[in-house]
Amino acid sequence: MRNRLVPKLAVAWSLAMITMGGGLLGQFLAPDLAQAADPGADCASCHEKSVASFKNSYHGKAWNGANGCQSCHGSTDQHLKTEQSKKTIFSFAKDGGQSAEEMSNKCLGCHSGSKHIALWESSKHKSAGLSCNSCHTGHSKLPKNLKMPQTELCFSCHKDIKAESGKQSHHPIKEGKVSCSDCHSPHGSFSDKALKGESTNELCYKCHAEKRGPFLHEHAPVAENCLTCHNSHGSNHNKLLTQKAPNLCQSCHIGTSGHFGAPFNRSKSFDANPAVSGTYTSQRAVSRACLNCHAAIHGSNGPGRYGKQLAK
Amino acid sequence: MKKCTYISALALMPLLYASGTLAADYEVTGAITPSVKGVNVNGSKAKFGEYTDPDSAITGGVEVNADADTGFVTFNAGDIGQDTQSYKAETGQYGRFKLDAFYNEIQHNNTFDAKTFYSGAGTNQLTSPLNGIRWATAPAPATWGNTFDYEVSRNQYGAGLKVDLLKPFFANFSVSREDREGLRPIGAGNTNYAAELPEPVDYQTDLMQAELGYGKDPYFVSAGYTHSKFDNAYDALYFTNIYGVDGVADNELVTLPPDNSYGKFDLKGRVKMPLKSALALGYSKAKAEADANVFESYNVSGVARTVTVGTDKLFNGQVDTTNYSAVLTSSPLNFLDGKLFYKNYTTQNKSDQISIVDNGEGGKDYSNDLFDYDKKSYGIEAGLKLPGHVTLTPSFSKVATEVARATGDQEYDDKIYGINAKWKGLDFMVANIGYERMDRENDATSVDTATPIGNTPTASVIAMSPYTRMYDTASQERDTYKFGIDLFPTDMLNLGFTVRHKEIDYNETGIGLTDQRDTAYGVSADFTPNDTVSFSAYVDYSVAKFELLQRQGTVIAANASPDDTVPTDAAYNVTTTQKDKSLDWGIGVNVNVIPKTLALRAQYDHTKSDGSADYTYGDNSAANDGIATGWTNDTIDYANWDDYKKDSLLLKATYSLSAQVDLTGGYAYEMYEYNDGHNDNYAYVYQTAATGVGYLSGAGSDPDYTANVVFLSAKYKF
Repeated sequence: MRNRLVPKLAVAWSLAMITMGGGLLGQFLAPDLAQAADPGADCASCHEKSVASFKNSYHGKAWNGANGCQSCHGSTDQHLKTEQSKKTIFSFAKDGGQSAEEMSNKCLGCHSGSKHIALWESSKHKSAGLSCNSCHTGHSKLPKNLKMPQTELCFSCHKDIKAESGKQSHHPIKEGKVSCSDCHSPHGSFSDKALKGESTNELCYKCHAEKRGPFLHEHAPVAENCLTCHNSHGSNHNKLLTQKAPNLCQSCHIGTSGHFGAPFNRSKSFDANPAVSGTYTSQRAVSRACLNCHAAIHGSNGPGRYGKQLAK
Repeated sequence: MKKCTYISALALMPLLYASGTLAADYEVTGAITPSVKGVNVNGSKAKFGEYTDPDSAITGGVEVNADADTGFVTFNAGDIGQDTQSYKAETGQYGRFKLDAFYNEIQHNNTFDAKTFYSGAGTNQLTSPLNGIRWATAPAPATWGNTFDYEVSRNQYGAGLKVDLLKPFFANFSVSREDREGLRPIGAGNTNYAAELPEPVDYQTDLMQAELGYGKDPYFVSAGYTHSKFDNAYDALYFTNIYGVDGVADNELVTLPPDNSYGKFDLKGRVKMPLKSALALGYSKAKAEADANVFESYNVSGVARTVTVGTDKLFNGQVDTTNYSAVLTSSPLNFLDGKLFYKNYTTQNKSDQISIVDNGEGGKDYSNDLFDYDKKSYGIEAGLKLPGHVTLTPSFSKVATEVARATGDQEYDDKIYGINAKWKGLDFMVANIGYERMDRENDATSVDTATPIGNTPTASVIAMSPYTRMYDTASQERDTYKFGIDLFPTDMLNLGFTVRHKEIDYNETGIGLTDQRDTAYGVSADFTPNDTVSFSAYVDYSVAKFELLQRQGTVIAANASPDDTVPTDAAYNVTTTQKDKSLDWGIGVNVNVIPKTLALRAQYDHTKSDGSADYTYGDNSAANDGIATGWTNDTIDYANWDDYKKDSLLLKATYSLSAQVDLTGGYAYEMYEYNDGHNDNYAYVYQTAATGVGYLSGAGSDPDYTANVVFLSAKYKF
C-alpha cells in the first residue's frame, strides 16, 4: 500500500501557501488601474439590481472601477437624455435588437485573443446562432461568468442529455463531480461533438487511464472507440452499456452452437435455478453474463488461450 | 476520524490570512455553511449513495473571497469531512495570473457487505479455507464469513498556474495526481463455472500539462505537452480455485491493468483573414506505452499448463497516434456562413507481436493481434440566413475509416448528409427541424475469431462469415430526424417539445445486429405567474429497440445462410428483440412565502425503465437448441431486463434570518426498485449441477432501497 499521507500534506501545504502568498505576490504585480469615480452611478437610479450585480461580478472585480457600464453597453448619452429604451444603448436582452454576431463581437473586443475561443468560428454553437450572451453574462459572479451553474445551463438546451444522465447508470454529473466541460469544449474543437480529446478514447483515458494499455491482447472495438459499447451520458444498463450483456457481446460475437450462437435466454438464468425449475443455470446468463469469465474485456496480458479470449 | 480532518482545517487558513496584517487592504466576503443531515436507508445504502456519502453526518462548506487592488484570494470547501469533500484555493490578479491548488474526492459505491469465503479481500491474493482441496460445490453462503464493500474512492489533488502577464503571450502549467483505492467485482470464471471476486483497486495516475501560446487578432498559436503516468500496485489477482483437482494446490490468476505512460505534443493555430474568414490548424502526436512479461505457465481448473513463447518474452506495448486537423470558416456575405473541415486521426500499434503457443490447447498458437486504426474525415457546412427569419444549415461530410482486425483489414466509408432549419419568425416561438442521413459502405465480411482453437476460426464461423457483420463497422443506412419547438407566449410561460427518431438498418447484415430504432420525446414547461410562485414540469419518454439474428446449429457452407428459412435440427435462426423503454417525469414548485425571507421548494421526480428481451428459436426440437427442458419459445423471454423505478421527493425551506444568516431545512425521500431476469432468485452459489458450478459475491444483486433524509443548514455570510 502506498503512503497516502505525504502527498496530502503536500497539498495542504500548497493550499496554505497559495492563500498566504497570493497577497504578497499581488503587491509586486499590482496592476495600474485607473479608478473611475463610481462606475454605474448614472445607471443605478433606474438599474439598481444590474449595477449591484455588476459590481459583485468577476468583471466588476477585475476592472476594479476602471470601466463602467458603457464598456459593454456603449454610450448612454442618448439613453439618458432622450429615449430611455433598449434601442438607445447596446442591449444584450432578447428584444434588444442586436444580432448574435453583434453581441459576440462586443465580448470578442476584449476576449478575442483568449485560447478558450480560438476555435469559436468553427463551433457548432456559433453556427447554431448562439452568442456569448447565450451562456455568459458580464454581471455574473459564477465561475466563467455563466448565467447559471454549468450543468443546469447546458441541460436547459440539451434536454435529451439531461434525460440520459438521469438514468440509473450514469457519470456523476448531477452529483456535481463531472461537468459537461470536462469532456466538451463549448467554444469549439477539432473533434466531433466538440470533444476535448483528439478522439473519444483519448478523452476517456484521462480519467480511466487503466483502460489505456497497450495490452498484449487488445479488444479491437475497445481500442477504437469506447462508445461502441458505452453511452457516456447514461444508460438503463450497468456500466453505461448501450445494451445489456450478453446481447451487447452477441451483437458481434455470433459464432455458432454452444458458447456463442445461442442467445442466453431465461431458461439458463437464475430463474432456471435447479431448485426452481430443475434445469441448469449458465454462467453466461447470470449476474454480469459474459463478463463473469471475460473479465479483461478492455484488454489482457493474460496467458495462452485465456489471455487471447480476454478471460484472464 | 472519518476523514483526514487536517484538510478541513485548511478552511481556516484564508480566514486567518484575511484577518491578519496582509488583509488590511482586502475586502473579504464569503460564507460559512455548517449543516447536518440525518439519513435512514432501508436496503442498499451503496446504491442510494452511489456517488455520495450515504451516512448521517455533520458537514458543511466554506467560501472566502478576498479582493483588493493587488489581487484576489479565494477558498472554497464543500462537503467537509464527507466522502465527497473538496477544497480549492486560488489567488492571482484578474487577467494577469492565477495560481490554484485543489483537493477533491469522488466516491463510487457499488455494493456494501458483499461476502465471500475467501480471505484476503483487499489484497491480490485470495485464499480459500481449504486451499488445495477440490470442493464439489462452494460452501453454503451461511459459512461465508468475510464481508467487504465494493467501492472505489478517487482522491485527486493538484495545482496549476496560468500566466497572462505578458499578453498576448500566455502560459499554463498544471500537475495533478489521483489515488484510486477500493474493490470492484471481477469475473474469474472458466468453462463450467463463474467466480466473482473482489479485485483490489490501488491505482495512481499522474498528469502534467503545459501550454505556451500567443493570442492576438488575427493570430492565435499554442503548443502544449501532456504527460500521464498510470501505476497499478497489482499486475494480477491470484486466487485458489476451489474447483480444481483434489489435493492439488491451484493458484490461478486474472491479469489486471498494467502500468502505462502516455505523452502527447500538440500544436494549434488560427489566423483570421479577410471576408470574415478564419483558418484553424491542429496537429498532435502521442505515444502510449506499457510493458508486461508474457506468462509461460498458468493453472486452469487445477491443471498446470505451459506456454511456449517466442524469443522475446517481454511484451513491449506501444501505440502511436497522430492527428491533423484543419477548419476553414468564412462569412463573406451577411446571409452566408461556410465551413470546410478535414481531420485525419491515425493510431499505429507498434507493440511486439509474440508467438504464444498454449501447450494445454494442443499446441495451438494464440499470438497477439495488432490493431491499427485510421480515420479521415472531411466535409462542408453552410449556414444560410434566409428571409422570414429562417436559418438553414445544410452539411455534407465523408468519413473514410480503415481498421486492422485479426482477420484482415477493413475499409468503410460513411457519407453523411444533413440539413437543419431554425425558424424564429414569431416573437413567441423558435422551431427547429433537422434530418441526417448516413450511408456506410463496407464490403468486408466479419469473422468472429473469439474461438477456442487458436488463431483459426471454426468451420462454422467460416461458413457463416459471408453473412456475418459486426455492427460497429457494418454497412448501414442511418436516418435521424429531429424536431423541437420552444414556446414563450408570455414572460410567465415557457414550453418546450422535442422529438428525436433514429433508425439504423444494417442493410448487408444477415447474421448479427440487423436493426436499431431509437425514439425519444421530451416535454417541458416553466410557469412563473408572479414573483411569489413558479412551477416547472417535464416528461421524457424514449424507446430503444435492437434486432439481433443469429444462426444456430451445426452450420456448414450449405446451410449457413440465414435466408435458408426452413429450419432443421442442424441449422436454424434465432432472433432476439431487445427493448428499452424509459419514462421520466417530474414537477416542481417554488414559493416565496415572504419575499426575501421565506422560500419553499417542492420537487417530485419519477424515473422508470421497462426493458425486455424476446427470443425466438427457429426450431426448438434440436438437442442443442439452447432452450432447457421444460421451457418453450413463449417462456424463455425476459420480461424484466434491467427494469427499475425510482421516486424522489424533496421538500425544502429557506428562511433568511437576517442579511447575514440563512437557514435551510428540509426532507428528502427516495425509493429505488430494481428487477432483472439475470438476478431473479439470486443465489450466492448459483449452480450445483454437475454441468457447472460457481459462486458469486452479491455485487449489484439487490440494489433496492428506501431512504429518508432530513437536513438542516445555516449559512452565515460575511
